[in-house]
Amino acid sequence: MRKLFFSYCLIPFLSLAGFVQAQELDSAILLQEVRVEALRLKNRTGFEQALIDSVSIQQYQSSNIGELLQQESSLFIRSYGVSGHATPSIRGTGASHTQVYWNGLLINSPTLGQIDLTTLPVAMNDVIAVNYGGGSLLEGSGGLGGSISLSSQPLHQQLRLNISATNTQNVGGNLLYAYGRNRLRGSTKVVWLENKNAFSYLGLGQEEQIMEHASHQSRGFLQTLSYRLKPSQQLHFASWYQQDERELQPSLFVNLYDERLLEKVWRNSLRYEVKKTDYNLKITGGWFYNQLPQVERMGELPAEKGHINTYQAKTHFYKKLKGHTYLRSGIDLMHSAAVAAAFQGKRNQQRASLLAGLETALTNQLIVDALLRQEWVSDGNNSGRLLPSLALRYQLTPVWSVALNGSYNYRVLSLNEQYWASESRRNLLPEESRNVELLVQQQLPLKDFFWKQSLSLFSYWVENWIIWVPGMPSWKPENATEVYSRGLEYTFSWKSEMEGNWNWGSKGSYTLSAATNQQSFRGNQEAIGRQLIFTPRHKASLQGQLYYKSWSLSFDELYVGKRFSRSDESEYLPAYWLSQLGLGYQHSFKEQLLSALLNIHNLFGYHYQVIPFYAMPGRVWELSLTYQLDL
Amino acid sequence: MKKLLYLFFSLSILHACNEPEDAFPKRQENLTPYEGSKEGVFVLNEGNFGWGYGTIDYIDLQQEEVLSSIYEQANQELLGNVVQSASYFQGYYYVVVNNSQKVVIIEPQTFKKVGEVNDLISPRYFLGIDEEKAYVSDLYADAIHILNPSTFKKVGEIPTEGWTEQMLLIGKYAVVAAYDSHELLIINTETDKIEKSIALQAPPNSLQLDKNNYLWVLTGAGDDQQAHLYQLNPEDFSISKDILLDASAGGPGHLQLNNTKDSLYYLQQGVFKLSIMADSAPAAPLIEETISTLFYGLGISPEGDIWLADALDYVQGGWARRYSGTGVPIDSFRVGVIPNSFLFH
Repeated sequence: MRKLFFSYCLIPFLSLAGFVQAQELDSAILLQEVRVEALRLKNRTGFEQALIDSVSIQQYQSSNIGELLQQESSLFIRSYGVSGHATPSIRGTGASHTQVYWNGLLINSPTLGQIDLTTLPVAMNDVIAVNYGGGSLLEGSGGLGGSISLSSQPLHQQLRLNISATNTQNVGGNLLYAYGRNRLRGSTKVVWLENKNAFSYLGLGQEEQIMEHASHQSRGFLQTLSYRLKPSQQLHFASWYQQDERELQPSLFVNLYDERLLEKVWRNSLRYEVKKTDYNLKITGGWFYNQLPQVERMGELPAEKGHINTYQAKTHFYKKLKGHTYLRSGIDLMHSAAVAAAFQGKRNQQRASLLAGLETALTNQLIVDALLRQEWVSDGNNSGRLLPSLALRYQLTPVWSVALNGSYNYRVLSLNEQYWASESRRNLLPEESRNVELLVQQQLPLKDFFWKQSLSLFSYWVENWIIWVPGMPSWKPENATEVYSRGLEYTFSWKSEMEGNWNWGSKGSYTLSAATNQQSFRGNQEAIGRQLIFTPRHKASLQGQLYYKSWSLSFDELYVGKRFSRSDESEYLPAYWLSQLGLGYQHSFKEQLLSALLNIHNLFGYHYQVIPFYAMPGRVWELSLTYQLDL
Repeated sequence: MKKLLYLFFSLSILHACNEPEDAFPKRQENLTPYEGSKEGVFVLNEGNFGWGYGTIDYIDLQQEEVLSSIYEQANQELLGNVVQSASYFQGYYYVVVNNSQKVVIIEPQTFKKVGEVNDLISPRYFLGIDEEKAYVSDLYADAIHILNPSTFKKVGEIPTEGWTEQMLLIGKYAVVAAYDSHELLIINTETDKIEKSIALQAPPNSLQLDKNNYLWVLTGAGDDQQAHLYQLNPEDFSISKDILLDASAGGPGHLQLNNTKDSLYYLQQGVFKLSIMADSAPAAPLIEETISTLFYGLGISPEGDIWLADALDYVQGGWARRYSGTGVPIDSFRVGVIPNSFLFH
């Protein structure tokens, strides 16, 4: 069966400068549409994927990926203050259990095994998606919780400037120039950030203070080029350079603070893609250079500069066999070379994977999607694994479907876990997980009404869970426990057109994650059966949007349940509620569009901390202005 | 629309119930007030770096009960982040709170704070010299801080290279373990100048002075995966013994002396004991670390009992475990998060 392929390049066309734009630019999208008869490269059937809508991406242009996902997804983001590290937790799993990909290539640090979401500006990405559990195995291994997929792509011809400012002395913006027609297209984007984060907060003695040590300056540059060799063949190039300088927000206990973290990263990807009616071939190569974060202390930088070079090559082939039967295959290669003082020299790691999978319809209603990934790793401790995943999806009615999936996954030990401070880690084992999920979905696309809901019951069992523990002279990783995370996740969204010029919509989610220690560290019994620290059992969000002509009004509510800060559950941080109110207006004339968006974050000034003793802002006013000229 | 307004007002009411203290961690434990030391042991609990808070517990050995967080109770404030060490000097406890960058001075009977020295970068250990002088070592300051204990003020610095750890007073000299530079620094406390530095083959972490006034220095692992236990002559600080310890499974630390100052103890995934007359390391530990213990601190009481701080998984209250001098378990007490040392008053 031939499928209509809508180029991914269309998705950024949905980049809108406010809520209202989403409603009014549909016609523009149609004008820019490219129709190609080709096989669509699908996501895994029967695994859950959450795609962040382009309106939200536009709304969070001055934010980082962590701030976006905290509000717009079921992920819990552990933020050490506003400028400190922010790491994701998918369904109760840890920070390194989420693999982050950019244009299909892994960008988690090979040394840390994770990535700080604070350093990933939303403005650099046009597509943001979360793949849960075994759904991430198509891109790579290690996503015990899942993966976040980011993509930067060529856009239609336009000039766009977005600037924003807050009452906490944060100023930021991005400038986009997208050009070219027909065979060659490109875009150049510059992103800058001057965040002082001078918010007021209550100190340990409940005295009101102004934050003085959470500044964040960021400069980013993104270049994309896309060249159509033939109607069915394309070359895509993307280059992303970014440098960040920030004060890692100190805890409330610290009085004297003079530390800055300096980071530089340069990511390059090149993709060759062939799209035919019966197959799709994608060959991607990448070279990433990371200068390891340097801590400037008391105005002095350390003499030694560490860096990592990462080279990746991926070939993925997707072929239609007969009927509803598709073959997936691929080869993934990765080489990481890190030079760091803590390693006393250079450390390398090579990884190779072969994958093969089949998706077939057993009956008109029942689809099976199976994938095998065999991975090899050069390091002694990281023995290769065979990682299977299987899903069954049954279409109950035209609008209802039910899916059952299961997978086995493991995470390759990071370079730090193996070599930090040159201690012997002969006994450290890679973490591994066994995931099962039952997914029920309903989708009701009517003429004036769109309704979608999804319920997932999940069960993740993670063994050899690694934690870093204090030691002399430095911290060290240990296989500390087994964790059983189970729960449910419910999401819904709907949009409706009313009479006149009114439109409205809403979306929301609720996640219950009971993530408990099953085999306590060092035989200690107190933590067995207890919830993991800093992992909320409950998280919920509700968002509502109302549109009238050129105006829009939105209200978002986020609830994060209490989080324990001790493994025996004897201490916890109270739950918190965050409200956000947005008012937008846009004016368009000919090819030009001017929009303004006023957002009030933490509308009611709720007192809360995500991590104990790291202050978070109260009410923050943000004004964002966007000018767009279609060329 | 009415429903939306109801929702909005409901949320407003919900948010109005939020108080500033709701942002802070809530603890589920009952605290008993401290009424002065009789027969007991103080336990220093580091708390988690950054997001935790350190505490001091008092183990009342007569009642066999633990009084938790006695500083908080006496002063109605948190002691700070990472309670690193404490020393008794001229009638007060000087508690070094590392990540809070301060030294807190406490009156022992009431546990009330009498003073505080702030802005010390990353202080580690306190060494009292005399009524008007004390030193504080530091992880990042590249200096030893000089305090005046009578005014509780910082009055100067002695420049050093990198991280400095434990210190010991021998006559007019302060001996400082310089961790980063693998040296012992000999500071003349009258001039506050480094008069001598003794090169070692591994990073020194703890110091003791035995009954014969010999200085003992324990190091962590060196590049050759071996740690050293040095004995030095205090007259000229020459090395008189160098006992090699296998450190392939992690370096040793927490060197202690017994009450008669003729036996040394240290931690290395277990408690090791050796005589000050020994020339080689003991082959087996006196007390073995088991699968269910994580020894993080060591103390020897004036009665000769061995006290071990068991940090468990580092993210819950630990245990203070008491053993006889021969390594026989006596009793255990539940204490604060990451216990690291003991004070016997």
